Amino acid sequence: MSPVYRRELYSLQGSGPILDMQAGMPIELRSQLRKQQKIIPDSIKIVAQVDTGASTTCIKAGLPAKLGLAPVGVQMIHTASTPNVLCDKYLIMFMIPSVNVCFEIAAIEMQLKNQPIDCLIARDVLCRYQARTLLGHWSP
Amino acid sequence: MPGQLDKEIAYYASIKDKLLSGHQYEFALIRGDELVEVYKTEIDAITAGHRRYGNTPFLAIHIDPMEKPLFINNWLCV
Repeated sequence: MSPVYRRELYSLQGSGPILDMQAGMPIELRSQLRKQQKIIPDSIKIVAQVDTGASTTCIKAGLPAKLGLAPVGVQMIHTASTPNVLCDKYLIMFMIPSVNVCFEIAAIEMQLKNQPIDCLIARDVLCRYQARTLLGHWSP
Repeated sequence: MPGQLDKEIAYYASIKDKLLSGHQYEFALIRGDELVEVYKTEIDAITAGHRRYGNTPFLAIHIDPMEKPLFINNWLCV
């Protein structure tokens, strides 16, 4: 499902802490491709939601394949409806152009069924950047 | 795509007890059935893997005696 949020509709009270971001290949892999004179995959525009209740950042299934990334780890996850699902992890570079923030994080690939977001920004990011920094451009 | 790291996961299971004795809560970098090295942080392990193996599958895993599944909110409808 394509993201349905639009910037002009964003408000912290209305739509929640939604961010326009870009996801791309991590710096080390970009550097290797550059040295090999190969094409670096374009970054992809995504919509993310900040969730203080989540410990690890998650990305929508299929996004790593679009970026051409191979898995670098696994994480067993557990939900109320589905226990013990083994998901792959990928190192992804995220950019938030509106606040000029860029970081790399190992994110879990999982189904985000029927959700109008591509990414869930969790406490592993928030411990590096205060929510106010990430959401600096927001209206209440 | 689950399954790309099956070999690495199986190898980690076979050496986990040994790793726990000296490297608890660190991060192991495993490729195939080889333990490459142990690192203090996940990012260090992954970056070292990328330097060594490029954009190919490898396993950077937390050496954790508990290995509790991560709970994800139900609204994600996994």
